Amino acid sequence: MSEPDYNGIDREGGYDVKKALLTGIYLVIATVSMSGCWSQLELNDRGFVQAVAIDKKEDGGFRLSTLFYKPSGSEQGSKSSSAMPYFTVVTEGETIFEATRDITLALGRKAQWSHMRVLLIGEEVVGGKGMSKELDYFIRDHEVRGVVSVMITAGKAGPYLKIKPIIENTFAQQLKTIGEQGHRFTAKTMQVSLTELHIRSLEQVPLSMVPYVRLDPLDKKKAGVSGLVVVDMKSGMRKAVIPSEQSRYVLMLNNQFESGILKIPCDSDGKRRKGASVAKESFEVVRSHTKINPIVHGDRVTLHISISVEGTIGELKCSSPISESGEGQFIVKVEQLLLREASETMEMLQKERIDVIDAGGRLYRKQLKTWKRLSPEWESRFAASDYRIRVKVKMMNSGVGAAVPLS
Amino acid sequence: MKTTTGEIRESNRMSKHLEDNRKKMEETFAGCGDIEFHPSSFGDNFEYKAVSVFCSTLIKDKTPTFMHDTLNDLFRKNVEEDLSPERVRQFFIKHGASTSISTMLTRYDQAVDCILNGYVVIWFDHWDTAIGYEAFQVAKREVGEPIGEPSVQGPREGTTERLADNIGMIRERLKTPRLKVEYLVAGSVSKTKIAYMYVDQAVKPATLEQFRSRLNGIDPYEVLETSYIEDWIEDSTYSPFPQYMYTERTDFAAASLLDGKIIVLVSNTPMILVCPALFVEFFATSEDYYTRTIFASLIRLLRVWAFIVALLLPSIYIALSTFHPELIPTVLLLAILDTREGIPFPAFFEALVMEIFFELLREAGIRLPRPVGSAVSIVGALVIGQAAIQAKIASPMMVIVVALTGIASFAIPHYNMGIALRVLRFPLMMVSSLLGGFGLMIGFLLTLVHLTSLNTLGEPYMSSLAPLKLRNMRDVFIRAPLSYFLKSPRNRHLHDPRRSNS
Amino acid sequence: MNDKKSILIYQMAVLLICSTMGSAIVYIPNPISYVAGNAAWISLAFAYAFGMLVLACVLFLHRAYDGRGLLEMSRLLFGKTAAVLIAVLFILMLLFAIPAIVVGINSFFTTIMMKETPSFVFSFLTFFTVAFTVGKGLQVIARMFVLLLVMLIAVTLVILILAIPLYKVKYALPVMPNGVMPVLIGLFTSGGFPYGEIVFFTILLPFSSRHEEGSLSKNMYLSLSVTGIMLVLSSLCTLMVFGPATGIYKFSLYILASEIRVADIIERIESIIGIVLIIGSYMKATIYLFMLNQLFVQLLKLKNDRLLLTPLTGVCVLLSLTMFKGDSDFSQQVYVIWPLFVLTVGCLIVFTMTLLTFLRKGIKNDEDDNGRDPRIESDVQASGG
Repeated sequence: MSEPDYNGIDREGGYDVKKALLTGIYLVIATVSMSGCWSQLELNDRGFVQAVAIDKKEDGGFRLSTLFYKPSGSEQGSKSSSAMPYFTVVTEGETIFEATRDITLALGRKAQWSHMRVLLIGEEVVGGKGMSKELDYFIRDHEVRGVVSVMITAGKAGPYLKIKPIIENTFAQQLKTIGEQGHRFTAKTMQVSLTELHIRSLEQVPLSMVPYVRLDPLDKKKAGVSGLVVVDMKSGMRKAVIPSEQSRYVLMLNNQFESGILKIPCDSDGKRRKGASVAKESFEVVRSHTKINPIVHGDRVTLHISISVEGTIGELKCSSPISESGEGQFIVKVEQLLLREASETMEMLQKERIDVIDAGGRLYRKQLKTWKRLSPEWESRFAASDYRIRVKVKMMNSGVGAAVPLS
Repeated sequence: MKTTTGEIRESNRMSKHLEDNRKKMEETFAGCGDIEFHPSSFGDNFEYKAVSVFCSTLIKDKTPTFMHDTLNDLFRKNVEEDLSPERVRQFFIKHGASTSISTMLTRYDQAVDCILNGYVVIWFDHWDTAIGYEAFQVAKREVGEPIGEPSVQGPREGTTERLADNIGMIRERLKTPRLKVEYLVAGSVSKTKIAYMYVDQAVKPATLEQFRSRLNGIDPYEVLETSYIEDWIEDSTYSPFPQYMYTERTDFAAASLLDGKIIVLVSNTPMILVCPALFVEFFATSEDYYTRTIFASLIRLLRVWAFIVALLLPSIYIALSTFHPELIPTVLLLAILDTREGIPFPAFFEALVMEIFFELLREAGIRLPRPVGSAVSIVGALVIGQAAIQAKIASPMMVIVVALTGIASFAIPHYNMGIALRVLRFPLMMVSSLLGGFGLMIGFLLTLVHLTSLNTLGEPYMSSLAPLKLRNMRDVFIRAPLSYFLKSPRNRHLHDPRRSNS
Repeated sequence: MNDKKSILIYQMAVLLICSTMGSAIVYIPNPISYVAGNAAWISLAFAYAFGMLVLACVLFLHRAYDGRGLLEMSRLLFGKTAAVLIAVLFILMLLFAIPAIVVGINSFFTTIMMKETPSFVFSFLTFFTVAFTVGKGLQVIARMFVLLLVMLIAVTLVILILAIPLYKVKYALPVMPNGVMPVLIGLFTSGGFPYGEIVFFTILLPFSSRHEEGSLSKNMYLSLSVTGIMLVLSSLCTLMVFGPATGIYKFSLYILASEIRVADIIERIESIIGIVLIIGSYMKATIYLFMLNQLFVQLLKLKNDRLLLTPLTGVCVLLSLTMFKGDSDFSQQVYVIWPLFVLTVGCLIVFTMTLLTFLRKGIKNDEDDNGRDPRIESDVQASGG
């Protein structure tokens, strides 16, 4: 401590500046010489992973295909626009972690997982011993963030990464946006993140729906996301595949339907309702909300499902809901369609014994004891349960045109 | 000048003989070529002698006739009577040195002082007293807009190097006897006149006491500029943060006085020292009070933002790109990656080089004459920066970061706070390059501790932020409408009766 | 009154928030929901009630003994030797708490952000900053922490608000599949950490300014409510996002922040919350180190406040590097053993003192009326510093 100086002022709050300065210099020297800059790595010494595809090898190990971003500045002279800004590294290992570490051997830069967009899992990984344990590395590692999208591919996942993207930089980005926007606008698929999968695996009914990536049947060079795969996260087994048409209604039942189109056949009383040759009108759903209430009497479970939908007219072909009665008729048509489709979907779910609508979870939260009693055989109970569906449709407007079809 | 024995004092007294006086003056000013001696005679037959001594470089031009004019003025009524030294003496003794610009001098040291202050000192024969008339005139700078503090709206009156003029300009704004001015003189060779002003009942008495007790003892030292006083009385010489403010604007000085501050003026320099200055006041300019509330508040917020950017932006960039790339949004990251590919230097080194280069440019720009200055800065910044990017020595991202930082530090209205930022930026960059986000956090915390423990003239430096006084926040990040300010003391920073020392 | 050591009432209240919420906000509700699942927030609500009780006792003692510190009070109640024993017990508790807080900071950085850096770097630098801050005195600490706390609360609230699209209310329903026991265990854990640590404030309360209008008690209750609300709110919100996975993700609030994605621009903001949360822990460590220092100063009747600061910090640094064998050891000690110790030793001592004082006050009421009030005499300034 220094004494007040020549002016009687207690400067520097009582510190002896010379001593403090010397101490500071020692500290700086010590810190600089001590710090081996452990966590420090230049941006360009890292390889940024855009996507990862996991496949199983024949002998039980894993084959990892990692899609990296290639910075364009590395080309000397003019940048050739035909060069792809990405490349793939394939590694193998007995565990996934081992395979990831071997990437550095192939690439020379440390893989940076934090900007990964999509995690592709090959079909056979899911069908075999299970998926959730394999994902453990990704959940546990601090670099991989929980928001990365997970998708299951038809066939092996590795080749999908080689597909050329249409607009985006990489195919991975394209898949991710397909998942997002597809969910939002068509509801024919959805997006699920790693965190969500993890949470689902801890729930009472550990079933999760994962988007399904398939090659375009018309053009093998393209691929898209359609449909959903239902996976039991606890055992990691694949349970069923829901085609894209039906996915809409599954999502609606699960309260994950954001917006989409309902196709209403003109001849709703006739026998033929499906198929492209039947004239159909469309109703654009803007909002939908579903409530599922499981009611248990003894051993019988009844699911009371009530769906309420709000939307506008998309296309008109045969109806003219311009008058009040006309509007009423149109709404009835939509409701009937919804009722039919929802019932068919429930039938399908019960046939496959998959409780993706989480009726079990709702029961667990409502009546704990009952759930404890019923849970051991929930699959069969779900398959045998009754259901009552109520639908309510509200029409907001008829679009810009009047509510009559163009003649 | 400190005469201790009566003997010396006695020899300081003038003699009745003109020749002795004249000889003494010639001895004292031997070698001073600009001191002139003009003998003259008066009386009916011009039998009486007088001599006027003055420093020709300090006084008005018409001095050779001064003697005549003086005597003419004096004796206009008695022109027909006999002029004799006795009469002169009688006149002056009876009337006294009645005009404000003349004094009667009895000692040599007084005469020397007066001559050096621009007086004409006239000795008459047979009289041991000399008369001094003020005739000071030295070319001075015109009152103009202060260069460092321009404004769009508001007065453009800046201080000059004349102490009296400056005090006068401030007096003109606060016409109250409560505005006190106290003078002191410092230095045995420079004899600089220092003045400090405050408004009674606006200034906090404890602060005034502190200030006075600290200013004590500066008398023997040569004070050439206001910053000497700042160094003398400040609480922490080694802190990068300035504890007092400077201004050249008289309206700012007047406003500060109303706020209860003490201002110090030193002759021969236009810089006014405003003490004490709180950290939050460095973000305010006088123009804030002349523009409308909403705009002024937004500009204040902009300045606070500029402060943060100027201090932290390079460090954040280094920390994020080397330690935590997962925290950069993907699209931005890919853009940075593209530009950084092929750069030979690590991010910290690159940042350091660019920052130092920018500082060099700044320093050079200050010293260049005006017509050349702007061209060189344009050349330096644009051409060399562009060339560096093309040669792949620097990445465009880094150039943007450095440029933004530089611009932000210019947005701080007070120059000495801007210097603080420039100084502090480098240790923060170093610490963030060693330990990333954690290092930056430690650096930030240490700076904050230092700031909070700093005192300025006994007040906590971060007053109204820490200790938090919500009532005073109306002038910190926003500027509340003037109806809150119209009564003195404004802001109540220093004059809150509820305050304890926390 | 205006001496160098006293702080204003609202500053004391702010210090209370810092020391209860400071490090808790980083971890809650992970350890609680690990046992109590969805009912974690109920445990925390009850723990808050318990905290109010402890605070009431501490404030009662403060008023009854007219602002004396722990040492003085125990000397008066139990005699000199017992007082020394109590002081030693509190010193031991603080010597555990301070390194534990810093080890928490270390583990945050080595898990989340900078895996490769060895722990001692974080320990050393953090303690350096903490000691530096303590050396500046309580007033500087109080002033600074008001600012930091405002920042902490603001950032936390922003995160909780931005996460609104992620909330699924169904996860917040307190389903208790294993009965009430887990909730009680959760209550036990959170009763010890952080609410039980309010007993340390008996050391700090003497520093509040005496001659100030406004009620200390009211402000302290208010600030504890702020902590209570923040902790319950953050645990509720985390539960609503992660559901059954809440007990698995360490550093709940940080992971919550990493899930936020609003309008494509606001993403990856977990860096800010990370730094801010760590600042909370730093604040708590500073306050506790100050208390530890004060205990020694009062015990050994030292003239120079800063004499033992460096040795104490050195001891804490070494403890932080050696005390815990690993992650699970840390969890065990901090979430099981520490609450036990705080509740049985700290809280019990304070409760006993409260009870005795209450009884004595009732009996001795008339003896004080003859003008000589032994409680207000001399020595008051000495304990206040």
